[in-house]
Amino acid sequence: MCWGLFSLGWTVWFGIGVWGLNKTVGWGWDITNFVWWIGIGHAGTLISAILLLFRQKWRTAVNRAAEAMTIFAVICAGLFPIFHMGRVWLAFFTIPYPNSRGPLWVNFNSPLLWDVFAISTYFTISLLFWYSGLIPDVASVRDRAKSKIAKMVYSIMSFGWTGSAKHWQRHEALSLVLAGLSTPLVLSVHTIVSFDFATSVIPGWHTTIFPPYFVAGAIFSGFAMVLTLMIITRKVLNLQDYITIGHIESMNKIIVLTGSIVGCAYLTELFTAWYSQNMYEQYAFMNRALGPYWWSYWGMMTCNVISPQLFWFPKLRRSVTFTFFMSIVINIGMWFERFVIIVTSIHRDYIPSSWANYSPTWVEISIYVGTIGLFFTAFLLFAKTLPVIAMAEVKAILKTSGEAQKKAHAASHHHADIHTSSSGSLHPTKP
Amino acid sequence: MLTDTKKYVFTPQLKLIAYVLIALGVVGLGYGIFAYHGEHAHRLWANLLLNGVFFLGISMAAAFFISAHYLAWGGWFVVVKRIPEAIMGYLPIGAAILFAVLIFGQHDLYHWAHHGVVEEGAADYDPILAGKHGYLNNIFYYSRFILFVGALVFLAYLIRRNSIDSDNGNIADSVKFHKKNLVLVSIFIPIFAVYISVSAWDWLMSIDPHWYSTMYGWYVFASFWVTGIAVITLTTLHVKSKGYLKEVNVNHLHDLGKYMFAFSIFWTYVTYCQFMLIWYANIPEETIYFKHRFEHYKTLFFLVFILNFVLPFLILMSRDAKRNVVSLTAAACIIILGHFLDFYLMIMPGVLGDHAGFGILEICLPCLFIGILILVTHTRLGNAELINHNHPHLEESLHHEI
Repeated sequence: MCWGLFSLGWTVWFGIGVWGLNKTVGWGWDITNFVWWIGIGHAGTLISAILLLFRQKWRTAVNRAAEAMTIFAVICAGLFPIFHMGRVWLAFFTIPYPNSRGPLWVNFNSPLLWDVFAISTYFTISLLFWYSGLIPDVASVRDRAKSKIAKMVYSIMSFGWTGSAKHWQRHEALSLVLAGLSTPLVLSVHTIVSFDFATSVIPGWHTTIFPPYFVAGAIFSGFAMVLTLMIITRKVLNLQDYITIGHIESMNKIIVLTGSIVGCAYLTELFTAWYSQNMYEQYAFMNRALGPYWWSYWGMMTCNVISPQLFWFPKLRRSVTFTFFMSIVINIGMWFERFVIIVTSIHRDYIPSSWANYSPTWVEISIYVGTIGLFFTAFLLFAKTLPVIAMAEVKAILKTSGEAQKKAHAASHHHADIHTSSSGSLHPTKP
Repeated sequence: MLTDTKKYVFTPQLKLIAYVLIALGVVGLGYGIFAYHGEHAHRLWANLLLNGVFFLGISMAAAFFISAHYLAWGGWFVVVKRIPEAIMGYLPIGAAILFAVLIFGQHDLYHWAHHGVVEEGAADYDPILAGKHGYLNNIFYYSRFILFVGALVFLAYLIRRNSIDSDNGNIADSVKFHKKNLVLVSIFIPIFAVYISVSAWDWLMSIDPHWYSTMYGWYVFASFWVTGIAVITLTTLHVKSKGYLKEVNVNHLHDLGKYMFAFSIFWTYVTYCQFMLIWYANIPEETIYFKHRFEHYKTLFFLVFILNFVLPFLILMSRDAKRNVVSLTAAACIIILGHFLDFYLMIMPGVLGDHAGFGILEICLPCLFIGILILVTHTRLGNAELINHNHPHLEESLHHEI
């Protein structure tokens, strides 16, 4: 992380000339990393909001950590476009407000500006969602804190939560509003990131399938990163009873689903490039598969499309070691995907005299490594100081989904039979 | 536990309605054959393609509904699952109809199928279409259809058979049938996922043979899917209104309503993204598709947007509306009509240029297909118990509450 910080400083001091970018390849590792991190930042809100809508109770085991991960990933992502601006101290120029720079307004027609709005909104809502969910749990920590300083800090952070009915009622209402807000946001952020590419006329970038395909890819990579983190966390913090094999299996199912959607999109693009009979499109895809960056294309295909299909086998789906291995493979594959889309699409310009190759300099590599450092540092700090499992939410589903409760229920089944049929809404007339 | 397992009776009144609709459709078809022959036959074939694709799509969506819920271990849908299973009955009939249309109407519908376009030196030689000949040629085109649709029809048949068989034994046996179906649906879904894009290219996108859009397959899927759910909802409400399916309560209806709401938004999302990206990049090869539709079919273009997005969005927004029979019926009817017009817009401008219209043929022909669909669905509903009472997730569905 420190090394990454140093490299960022180096970039600011000497300008982005120290990166490997050139006139043809204007976006390289920077935007690749940006899209990669933004994609990772999708799982948290998806788990919290969309799985909530689908009534998937298993989400409560991982939603807190996934939301935290989202926030850290978005922070890492945000660094790249900001520093790519070059004069980073003028970054506030992207915000539209009446200014003293004359008629110099932001370009509202540019998807890059839409990105500024989409990502900052997403970040704000995700942060609020995460923090408001934390409040009751922080209060529990406060009540159990031993040292005086810890008690004070946690009590400030819990906003004086007492757990009264009124508090819970407001908390539930707020959660619902935020869930409603963040559901469209999950879709919009990566849709707009995909617009950055798809609104252009670059072969390989301009393709209409990009928005849903980017969203599916983002969920795919987000879940992979959640698995990477949670498998370590559950081992270190002994959370095997909270994050069970069943949870890991459910996440692997989502991975195989989204991975297959992404695979369908790859094949659709490949087919359509040929079908279009547009020589630029055809060349762009030939070049992806067989050009100088062929390794990234085949790396992407193997890691993202072929290997997740192994999760069709229940045995592999339920193996923790294999899942951990696969989650790393998918993280790598999704990085390749963005590299393929960005660099291979532009390194062969329309005019052969402008053709160029691109390789990153030590500065770019260091910044990337630095963001990984930042991400893990932030996550470890979170795991150290705050509850990684949403305690209050797990408690809420314990009655209906907990194993012990189910067993108790099964034991008293004879009574329960009569009981459920009379209390169910189906036969309201029965006593 | 199930309290009443009354068998469904296909009432003579409904049967009469179905026959009247079919008769009306046959009259329309006869009128079409009489009025549009020779060089005007385009219009007849375009209408047959429109209805053939639209109704086959509905039954494919019903099969997908069953498969997706099986694969995801869905529980709530068990009490309504016999409805999509019955709609699936249209699959083989629809497939046969569409196949006939694609064979006999090919010359009138698809420019790429003309012999000259791929022969160098011919008057209408087209180098772009010659380049696509590797994909758009008769042998490959029809064998794709037979292979994929055949597989889907066959799998749907097996899934339905297992579902019925599971009712005839005890609960322990039914788990065996359930597991068999889990295997079948996991074969069905990948085939469906691939073919839903391929079929959209084959049946619809190749009408405008130079034009292409990667989103097209998913856009057509969104249309099929939301229409399928609307038909399932409508049929459920009808069956319920006759005093059957007491187990289907507002909670199940709420879920169907949520689906209609969510996938209407999804349709809008893919449609808008496709339109916006093509409009923004402004590449002539791509904008031609929308330019044509926008200039000659402007009213319809906006009407489809209102029917498929604005109205379902506003009607189904609140929780109460999704639990109310009137608003659900209204939304389902609007969605079915809107998506029919959406398919009209996909097909007509490509085949007929700006000469498409709404006449006797356009109004009567869908009646034929609706009549067949009603006949098949309700006959099938009467053939089996209305609720798959041995399904392992039945209890979850009976106590479903949201």
